[in-house]
Amino acid sequence: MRSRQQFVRKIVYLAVLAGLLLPLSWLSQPASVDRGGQRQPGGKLAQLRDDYSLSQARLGDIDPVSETMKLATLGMRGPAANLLWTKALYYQKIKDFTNLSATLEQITKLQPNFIRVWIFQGWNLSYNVSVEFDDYRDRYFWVIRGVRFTQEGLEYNRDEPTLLREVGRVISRKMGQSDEHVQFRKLFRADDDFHGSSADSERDSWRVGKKWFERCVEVIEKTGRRPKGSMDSEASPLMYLAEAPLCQLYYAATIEEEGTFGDEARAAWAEAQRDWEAYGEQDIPVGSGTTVKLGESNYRFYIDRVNEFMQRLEDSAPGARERLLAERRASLPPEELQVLDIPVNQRDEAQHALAAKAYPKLIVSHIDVANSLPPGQGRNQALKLAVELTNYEIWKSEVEFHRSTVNYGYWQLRAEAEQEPEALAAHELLFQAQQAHRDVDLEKAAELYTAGFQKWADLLNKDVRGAKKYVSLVEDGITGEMMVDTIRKYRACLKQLDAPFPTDFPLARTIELHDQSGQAQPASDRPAEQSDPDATPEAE
Amino acid sequence: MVLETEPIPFWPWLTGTAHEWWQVLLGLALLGLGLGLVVRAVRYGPLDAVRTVSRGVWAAIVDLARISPRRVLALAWLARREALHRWVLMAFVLFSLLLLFGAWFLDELSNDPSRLYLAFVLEMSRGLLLLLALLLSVASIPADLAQRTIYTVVTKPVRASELVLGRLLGFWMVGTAMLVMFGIVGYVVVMRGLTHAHEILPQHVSNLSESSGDAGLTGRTETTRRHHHTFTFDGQGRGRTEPTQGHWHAVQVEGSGSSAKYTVGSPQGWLQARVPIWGKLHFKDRSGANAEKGVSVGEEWAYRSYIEGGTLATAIWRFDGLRAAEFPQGLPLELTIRVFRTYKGDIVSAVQGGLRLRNPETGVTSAERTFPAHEFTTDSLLIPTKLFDADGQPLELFRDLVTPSGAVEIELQCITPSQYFGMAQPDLYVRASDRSFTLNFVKCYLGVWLQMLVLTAVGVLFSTFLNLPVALMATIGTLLGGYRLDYIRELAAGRMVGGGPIEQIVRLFTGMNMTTKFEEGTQRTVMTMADDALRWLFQRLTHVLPDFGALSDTSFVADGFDIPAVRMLEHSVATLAFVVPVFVASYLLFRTREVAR
Repeated sequence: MRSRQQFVRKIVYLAVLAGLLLPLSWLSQPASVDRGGQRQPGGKLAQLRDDYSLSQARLGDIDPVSETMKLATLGMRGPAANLLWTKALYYQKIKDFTNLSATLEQITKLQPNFIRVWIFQGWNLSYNVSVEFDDYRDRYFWVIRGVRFTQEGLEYNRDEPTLLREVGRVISRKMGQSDEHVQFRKLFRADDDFHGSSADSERDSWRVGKKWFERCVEVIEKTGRRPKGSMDSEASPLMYLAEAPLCQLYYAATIEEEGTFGDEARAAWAEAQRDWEAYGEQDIPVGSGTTVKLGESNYRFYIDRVNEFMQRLEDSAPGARERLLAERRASLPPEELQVLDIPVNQRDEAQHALAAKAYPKLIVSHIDVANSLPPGQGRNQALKLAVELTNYEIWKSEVEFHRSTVNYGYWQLRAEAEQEPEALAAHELLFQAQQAHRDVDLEKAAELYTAGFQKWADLLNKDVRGAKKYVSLVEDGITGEMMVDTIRKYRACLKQLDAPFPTDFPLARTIELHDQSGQAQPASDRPAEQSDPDATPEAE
Repeated sequence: MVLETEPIPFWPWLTGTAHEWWQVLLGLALLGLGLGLVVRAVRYGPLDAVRTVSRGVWAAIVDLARISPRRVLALAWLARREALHRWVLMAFVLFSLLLLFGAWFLDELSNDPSRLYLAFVLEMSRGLLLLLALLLSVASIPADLAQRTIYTVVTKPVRASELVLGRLLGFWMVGTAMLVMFGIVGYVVVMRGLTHAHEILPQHVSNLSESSGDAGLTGRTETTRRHHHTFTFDGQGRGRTEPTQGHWHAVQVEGSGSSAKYTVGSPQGWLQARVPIWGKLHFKDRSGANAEKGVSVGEEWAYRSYIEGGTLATAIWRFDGLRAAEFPQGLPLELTIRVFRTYKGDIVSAVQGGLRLRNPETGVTSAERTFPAHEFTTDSLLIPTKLFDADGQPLELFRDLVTPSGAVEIELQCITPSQYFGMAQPDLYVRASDRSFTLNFVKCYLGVWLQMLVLTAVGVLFSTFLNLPVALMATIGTLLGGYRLDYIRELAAGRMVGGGPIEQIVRLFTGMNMTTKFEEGTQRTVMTMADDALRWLFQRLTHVLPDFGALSDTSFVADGFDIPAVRMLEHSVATLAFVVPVFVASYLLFRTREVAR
């Protein structure tokens, strides 16, 4: 009888347990997306989490599966996570990506607030696993898989700027700059599962990446937390603030490569310019409590101040600098003096060492110039000028350094130049030329190439407010290489027509500066040992 | 699927392992006898030792021979009742909970959800069942001894052997019942978890051709379970989706135009049990000379080797025993290869491969059949019964290309220059037939059942002479060692980078990297001696620890391959060969306890 009572009691317990599963299910059901793309709010806990923007880290994990797994490790979450990492590495080694994905899910259930897991494995999936596949569609699948993995991390770590930045980085850079960028951008645009019901205009990879970077910046401003860079140090604001405007710049450049011109392209470049200038007007912290502004007006301010104070200092002590230099040079030991007269590229190692010893002795600082004045003859005034001049020079180099880090000047100029009618026309003509070349309409292609290059030359030589503002684009590597690549195709087209390369080619200087391989040069100008491939337009 | 060790036919396997088994058994028996003699001799003298040990051995033989099945079954039933009181219901509830919640969070974005589901369910079942077996087996006898309830049993006319065997059988009965329940629930979860359908909306269907009817119809399904398919119709009303996530659906249409109704069938291509015929692989290098392996492209995992495209490098599989009656439609091949590009080339187009059949006796070769290589998918190629050679002359498959003994060679080359194909022996096979997935699922559970038998026996063994915590740790150690047997073998063979266990501990604590050599001296000598001793011990352990990994067939079921009957037979024989001596050892150890005398 007693054992029967116990048995009945157990059945009752079981029934109660089963009954409790119903409210548990109501509480714990995760949020999901139904077949129509509508987001289902899920159970009560998921709704509350959404309503109050609750972060896992603040509340201490409320994901039931994650909690169950942590409990099941009986206090050995660390060793369990280590084992899972080892398993993940093993699955990656044997290219079992199904199980790799599943293991990563388990790791993140055990360590949902360990950001590095989400970042590393999201990157691993998008960059390392994707390249294991030969078919570009499979590669795309895994790139997106990595993006989604990182996005999932945001569910557990709401408003984590590092994850937001990482999502933006993969979407913009991997989709937009990898070897498969043409294919990836097409697939990304057509990916309804990723975009849901977004309009086609909202599906460009650069624009989507930009939105993620902007969201990252909003979160940084709201929370004061900066994203982490490599080695868990904080990322530089100079870099992460530049990412959204750079996406817009690359977007504008890419849509022209893909065949969008005219007003749409101009509008894209105009937006890019606005974004870039807004970035330049920000006070960006660069360490040790200092901030810089990268914008043209600020840079020009320092250049003008340096020039002005230099002039005033020279005026207050005319010829002093040259005289001091001559004195110091004369005081150098003969062997050092001798070395300075040898051209730099002809010095041997010992001579370089001597020269390195000599140069610091020849530096005439502004303070030295001021001090060369006799006391009472304006020396104090000159010293003040020298100190201010030195400070302005330091600030100027600081701004220059950080501008060069993000190539601020180049992008500023490029954004302006690309809005000019000549630039828009040049891109359109060269695009049509390449299309005609692919369609083997060689004469038309040659005409269009010629017209396009002429338009580009017109842009470079354009007089803007009394100066050839855009001529420095000739020397720039990015634009230069882009042009050289097209010039190679033009040359191949001419070769197929048995036509000579024009002797008065308007972009000869570009070839001279940027054609490393010599393939864009006319055959007669190339060294004899260089090969002469028939470059044909690459199929897209 | 990945098969890192080639399957061995049953009789060679049996003769090979039986030889080793006898050696180990004899060694352990002699060790046991020797220890018994020594211990007895130290206490009571050598003559007494010989007398007592021989009497004990004879008594044990008689005891074992006189086991009463009726008493064993009674004790088994008693053990079953105890188990029900303790762990069983909890285990089932836990299993159901984990399946329920776990199924919500299984990755719907996985590129092969069926593999994931199957692996999850099978591993969950195995894990829980082994946990149950572990806790049941190690707790029983020590708990009885601690609570003194064992005296109520041993005072009955019950032999020690019957007591031990009864416990074993009882726990096995409970484990089997649990496994059946796990299997049923797991099967239902898998079937329900994978079953889905898609809708097709007319606005997502387009007609490529001008003609009426279904020909040229193409479109895409709606998204269900985070994926969708594109589909096409073949003009005879038969539609089919493209494979996505490892499966496809049949599509039917009723009506036409905007009023057409589309029906998408259930997923196909999941839950299979292929019966493969494996061949033997060898290679020719880029100059056409025979080679044992292909080239390495620098991958860490050397399971596959590669052949260079645009050269004479060839991978050749030789199949034997193929009969025309078994393949009336032709030879169905399935192929999984890897592609390695030395340069990106044409990103959009796949690297091209070529396949030929060759008669190994007459040298007659079919014309090359080209195909685009797809990685990480299984390509199906049907070699028809009527073919042509390179000169356009007609050939019959089984008359011209297959020898009278059923042998044929299949040659695979990479056509695209400077790109490589990678393959291992199991990557190309003849798909002889398909068996029932349900039966295959059951066979996999049989493997889990055998693991449960082994672990229960080990747990009972340790519980006969150790207390509960120590027996638990020893059984867990055996379980972990059994799963990591490959690692222990590597350790025993001295093939680990960074040296033996002691050397690696020293490197860890001193922060030395794995390749720096130690300086000659006392430290190094002591370390090397300790490592040699440990290696000797690990070497012995590898002969004794049960190979749980080998008993697991999850990968067969998850990858859609039938578990061969030979493999099940090998598992069963191995389990029996392990369990019987362990039971005997348990009985002998239990007899040494005072309570059992």
